[in-house]
Amino acid sequence: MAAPRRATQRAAPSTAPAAAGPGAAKASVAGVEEKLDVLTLVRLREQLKQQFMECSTVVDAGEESIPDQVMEEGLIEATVEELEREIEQAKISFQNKTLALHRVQIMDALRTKLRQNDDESKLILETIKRILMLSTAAMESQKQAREMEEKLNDIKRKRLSLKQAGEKKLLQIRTMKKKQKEELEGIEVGEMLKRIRRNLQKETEMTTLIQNIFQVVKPHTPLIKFPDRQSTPKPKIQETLQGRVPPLHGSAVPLSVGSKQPALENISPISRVQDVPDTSELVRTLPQKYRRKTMSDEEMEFIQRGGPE
Amino acid sequence: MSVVRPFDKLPVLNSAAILLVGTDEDLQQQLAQTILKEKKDFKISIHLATSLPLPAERDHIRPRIDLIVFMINVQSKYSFKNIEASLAHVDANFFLGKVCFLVTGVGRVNRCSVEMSAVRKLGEVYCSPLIFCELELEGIRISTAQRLLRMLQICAGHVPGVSALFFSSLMRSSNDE
Repeated sequence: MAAPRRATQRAAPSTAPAAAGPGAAKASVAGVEEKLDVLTLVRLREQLKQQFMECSTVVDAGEESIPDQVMEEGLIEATVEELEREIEQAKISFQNKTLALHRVQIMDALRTKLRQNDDESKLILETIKRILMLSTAAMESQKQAREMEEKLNDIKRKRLSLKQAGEKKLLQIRTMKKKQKEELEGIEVGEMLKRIRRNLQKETEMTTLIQNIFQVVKPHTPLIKFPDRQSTPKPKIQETLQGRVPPLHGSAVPLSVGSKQPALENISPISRVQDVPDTSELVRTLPQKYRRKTMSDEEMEFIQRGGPE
Repeated sequence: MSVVRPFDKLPVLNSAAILLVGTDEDLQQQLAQTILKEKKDFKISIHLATSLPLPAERDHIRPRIDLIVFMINVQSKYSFKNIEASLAHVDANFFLGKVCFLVTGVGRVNRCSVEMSAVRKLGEVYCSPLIFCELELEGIRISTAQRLLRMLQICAGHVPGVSALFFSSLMRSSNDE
């Protein structure tokens, strides 16, 4: 870099106007402070917020290496565990090897001892033979025990299968019994119904016969007197009144309640039997206490008006 | 040798600092004067340098630099090489919108000694916007000063909600579409 000029040399003349700026600003600082209004403060606050946000983002951006560290720590721990496991395994194998080595050493010592062929070696030989015998005997008895156990297991299995078969048979028996009972009941019910139906039929036949007989034998005696409607020419009211009279006797043919024709036919012979006078003659012949009371003129007016005034 | 770093010092309340780096001193002076004449409501300090790195002795007095403007004169290859050498002394975090390339002397095409493609490549490589201007003309100088002032405001954090990272929108040119 060829003679880097000091930035301040250049900065001096340029900051001079800038200094003039702050100088002028200082002169007016007094004035400014007097009217330091909320707007400027708010603006400065926004500035500071923005600058702070930028700085904090930069700081956050610079901190990004930490997740790597965390991962590394995890890795370190995992490797430490693995190494510990390997140490354990090495220890175990070492112990096994030492045991095997001891065994080999003992065998070798025994062999050399036996070769010496003195009292001690004889004793050792005897004990070895005894050990062999005992171990074979132990193996034999173990085998027998195993065989016995297997036999026992077989027997148990057979018993279990027999039990299961027995249960199945019982179940079958029960279901068959149930079926039989149901069939029996069904049969009985069917027969009973048939008998009932036959009886009913017989009864109905008998009653119809008897009814027909009674119709022919005895004519009906009316118990109610009706006034004579046929003779006097009256409006329809009388006919409807006649129509409403219920049927008096039951017959084999069922009567419909609303029908007028059969009722009229039944009533006409009745009116001929007894002549009862109709309303106009009734007025004349009716005793005083049964007659209607006369109405006053005032009452009639009241009714005609339809109530109070 | 000190490397210029952003955010290494605390900002001063309601003030901003701009650093102009370039070999052409007269133009630098003129531009600085124009910037100072502009109407603004914050304190501005303009630092001029011909090349980086800045001398370390005055480092503690210097305020936090908010915007670095590299002035390239297409009529002299020396300025281009100088700027390229100075770029090595700028911290990488500056190139997130706090650096701008000012390309001057583009009016006289027949005197261009630096190729345009090289200048554009420089802008692309360093992810910074290029501003083409002709500082000898008064009107263009004033408009450039206004632009730089606005950029400085945003870089210093005076505009809430707008950060220097938004200047990537200035880098897209119509040639790319």
